[in-house]
Amino acid sequence: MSSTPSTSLLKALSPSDHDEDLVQRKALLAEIDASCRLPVLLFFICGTLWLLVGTLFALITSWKMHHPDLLGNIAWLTFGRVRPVHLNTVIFGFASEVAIGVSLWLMCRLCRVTLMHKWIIIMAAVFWNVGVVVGVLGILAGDNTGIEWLEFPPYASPILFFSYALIAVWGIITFRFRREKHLYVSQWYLLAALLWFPWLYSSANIMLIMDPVRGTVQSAVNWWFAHNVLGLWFTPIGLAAIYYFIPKVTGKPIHSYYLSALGFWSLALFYNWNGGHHLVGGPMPAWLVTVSIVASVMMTIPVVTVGINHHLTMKGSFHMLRHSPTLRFMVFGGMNYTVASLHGVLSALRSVSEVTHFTHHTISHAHTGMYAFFTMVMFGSMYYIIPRLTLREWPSAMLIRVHFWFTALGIILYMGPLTLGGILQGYAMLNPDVPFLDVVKLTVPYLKIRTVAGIIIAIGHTAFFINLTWIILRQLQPYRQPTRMIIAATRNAINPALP
Amino acid sequence: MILLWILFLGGFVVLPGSALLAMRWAIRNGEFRDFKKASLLVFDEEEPVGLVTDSFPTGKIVLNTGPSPATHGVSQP
Amino acid sequence: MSFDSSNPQDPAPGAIARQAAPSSAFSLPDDLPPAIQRERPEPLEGNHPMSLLFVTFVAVLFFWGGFYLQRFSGGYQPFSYNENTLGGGATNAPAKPLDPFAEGKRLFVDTCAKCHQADGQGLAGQYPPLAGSEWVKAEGAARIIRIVLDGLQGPIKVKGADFNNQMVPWRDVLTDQQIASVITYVRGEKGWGNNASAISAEQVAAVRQKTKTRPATGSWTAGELLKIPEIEADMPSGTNAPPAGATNSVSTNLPAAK
Repeated sequence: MSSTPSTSLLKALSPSDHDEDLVQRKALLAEIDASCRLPVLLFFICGTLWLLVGTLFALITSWKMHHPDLLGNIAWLTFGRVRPVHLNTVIFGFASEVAIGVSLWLMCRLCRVTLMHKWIIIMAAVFWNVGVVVGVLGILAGDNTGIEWLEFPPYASPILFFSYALIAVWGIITFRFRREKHLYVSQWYLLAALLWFPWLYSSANIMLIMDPVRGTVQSAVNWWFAHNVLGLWFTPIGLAAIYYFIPKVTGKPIHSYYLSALGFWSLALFYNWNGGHHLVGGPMPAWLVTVSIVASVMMTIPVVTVGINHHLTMKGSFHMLRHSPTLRFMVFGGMNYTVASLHGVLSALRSVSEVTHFTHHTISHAHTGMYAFFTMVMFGSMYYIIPRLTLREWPSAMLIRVHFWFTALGIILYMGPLTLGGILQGYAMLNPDVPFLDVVKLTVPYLKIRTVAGIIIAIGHTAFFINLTWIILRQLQPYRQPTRMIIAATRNAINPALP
Repeated sequence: MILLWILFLGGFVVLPGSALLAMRWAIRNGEFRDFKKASLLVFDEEEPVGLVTDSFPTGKIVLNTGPSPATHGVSQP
Repeated sequence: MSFDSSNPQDPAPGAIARQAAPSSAFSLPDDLPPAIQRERPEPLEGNHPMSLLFVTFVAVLFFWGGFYLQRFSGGYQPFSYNENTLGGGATNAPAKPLDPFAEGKRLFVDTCAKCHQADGQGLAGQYPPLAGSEWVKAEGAARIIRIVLDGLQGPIKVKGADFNNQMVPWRDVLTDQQIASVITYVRGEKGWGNNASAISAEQVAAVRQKTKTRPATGSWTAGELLKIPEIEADMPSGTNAPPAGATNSVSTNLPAAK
C-alpha cells in the first residue's frame, strides 16, 4: 500500500515515529482489508482444500468402522493410516490454517495497522502447507509416530515449526506497531494463543519424539499436549473471533467487559492442567489426576462467564440470525462451546470417566469441541472476512443456507447418537459377562449413523467450497460494489452527522 | 536430558514469570481501568455502534432495531 | 453511488429493510427519516458488573476444588495410585503376597493358550492337550520343567494320541518364578481335571542349572525325557510357598475386573 509506512524489519522491531496522517483515517478499514487480501486468502483457500481432504479421509475412516474390509488390502489406506491422516489434515491443515488467517485479519484490524511484511506471511503459508503435505504423505507411507495428535513423522514437524515461528515474529512486529494502545479482549486471546502454541508444540515434540521421556510420563505429556492444542490454541482463537464478530455484526458492544477479563484470565489459569483427566484409572500418582479433575471442573468459570457474556450481548438481537450468515455460525459455535465444555467437565469426573473412557463417547466429545464449536466459528468468520478481502458479494445465499443447515444438523446427528452409543459401550465394557465382540456389535448402529452424519456434513462442505471457488472466480469480473460494502458506504446517507 | 531441564526451567520459571509480567504490563497499560472504552474498540468511524455489518447477499440492508443497549437497565457505576 | 447489484429485486437507493421489534421501547415509527432512526441512546455496555449469584457460584466452586484436591490426592505421595487412601498409599501398604496360581493363569493365557488353547484341550493332531495329560499330571515335575525350559520336538504320545510338532523353548523368556507359576497352574487347574502338586521356583532354578548346556543340543525329544526319572533325587522340595519377598508385581498393576 502506498500509505503504509515503508518499514524495514529492523525498524519494525523498534517503531519510533510513524506518521498517523499518512493513513487517511476514514479509509483505514478498507486499506487494512486490502493489505490482508493475499496472505489471508491464501490461508483460507488452502485450509478449505485441506478441509475437503480431511472430510474424505473422515468418511473412509468412519466407513471402515462398520465395514472393516473396505480398502483393507491397500497398505496406505488401512485404518491405522487413514485415521491419523484425517485427524492431522483437519487439525494442522484446515483448522490451524483458517485459524491463522482469521488471527492475521483480527490482529490487523484490532491493532489498526495494515498487514506489514506480507512476504513473511506468504512464506509461512507456503512452508506450513509443505509441512502438512510432507506429514500426511509420511503417515500414508507408514511413518506415523504413534503418538496421538503428534502423528506427523519427525521430519515434518520442524517445517511446521519454522512456518509457525515466522507467524509469531510477524505477530510480535504487528503488536509492537499497533496504533491502538488499548487491547480488545480478542487480542488477549490471540496473543496468548500465539505464545502458547509454540510452547505446546515444541515441548511435546522434544519430550515425546526427539528425546523421549520414559514410561507413564509419556502418556501424561501426550494428554497434556493433545488436550491443550484444543484448549490453548483453537479455543482462544475461536473465542477471539466470537468476541469480535458478535458485537461487530449486531452493532452492540459486548455486554460486560468485566466478565471478558475474568473469562480470559481464568482460562489461562485452569486450562493448562486439564489433560490429566484422561488418565483416570491409569498408573499415575493419584494427586496428578486429582489436580487435573479439579482444574477441569474449574473450567466452568470461564465457560459460564463467556456463555453469559455472549448470551446477554445477543439478547434482543436473536432475530438477526435470520439475516446474517456470520452470526448464525457464531451463535451456533458459541452455544456449542458451552455444551462441549460443560460436557467435558462432566466426563472429567472419575465416576463418569470410568464409564466413558476408551469409548466412542470421547470421539463425540472431541468433535463437539473441534467441529460444533471451533469449525463453525471459523466458517462464520470466513463468511464475514472473505467479501471484505475480495470486495465481492457471496454469489449464492442458497449455498450459504445449505452449508449452515447441513453442517449444523449433520454435527448434531453426529454428536447425539455417538454420545449415547459411547455410554452404552462403556457400560457394556465394564460388564465382565459381556464378550468383547458383543460390545463391538452393540456400537455398529451408532457408527453407521455417524457415517450418515459425515456424508451430510460433507455436502455442507461441498456447498461452501463451491461458494468459495465462485467468489474467487468473481475476481475476474469487473468490480461492482457489493451490498455489504454499501452498508458501510450508506452510513453517511443514514446519518450525516457521523464523522 | 539437558533439553528436559530447559523445559522444566521454562515451565516453572519463565512461563509463570512471563505471565506475571504480562499481567503487570496489562495493569500498567490500563487494561483493567477503562472497560467501557475497551468494549467499544471493535467500532470505529467506518463501522460505528448500531451499524449492522453482515447480511445474506440479497441486497437488503438490515438495521438492528432490537431493544437498545440501554434497556438492560444497569446504571453506570 | 449506485446499487448496482446483480439482483433485479434490489431496493431503490436509500431504501432500508428494517427488522423492527415492535415490543421494544425504542422501536420507532416506520415513516421517520433514517437519520432519526439511526439515533440511539449512548450504549452503556461494557461495564455491567458481575452478578452476585455468579460470584457466589465461583466461590462455591473454589471451596469444592480445595476439598476435592485435599481429600482425593492420596497424601500427594508419588507412589499413591489410589485416590481413596488418605496418605501413604502403596508405599505403606504391605506388599501383596504372590499367588502363583493366579500369576500362572495369566501367563498361561498370554503365552501357552495360543497353541494349547484356553481350555487346555490343545488341537487334535497338532498341539497336545494339557488337560488330563499324563505328562502334566505326573508325580514329579522333572520332565515338564525341562519341556517348558527348552521346548520339545519330534513324535510324542499324549492321552493315547500321537503328535509330531515343535514346541519353542522359554528358557530366556520366562523367569524361574514365572515358569514355576505357570506349571503350578497347569498341573493344578481342577477345571481340566488336573490336581497335581504345585512346584517352586527353586525346583525350576535347579533344573535350569542342571540343563544349562541343553540349548546347544536342541529341544527335548520324548525318548530323552522318558529316560529321566519323574522325581529326581536332588530336587528341592516342591512347596507352594513363594520365595520370601516375591510380589506379584505385574498383576497388581492391572485394573481389577469391575
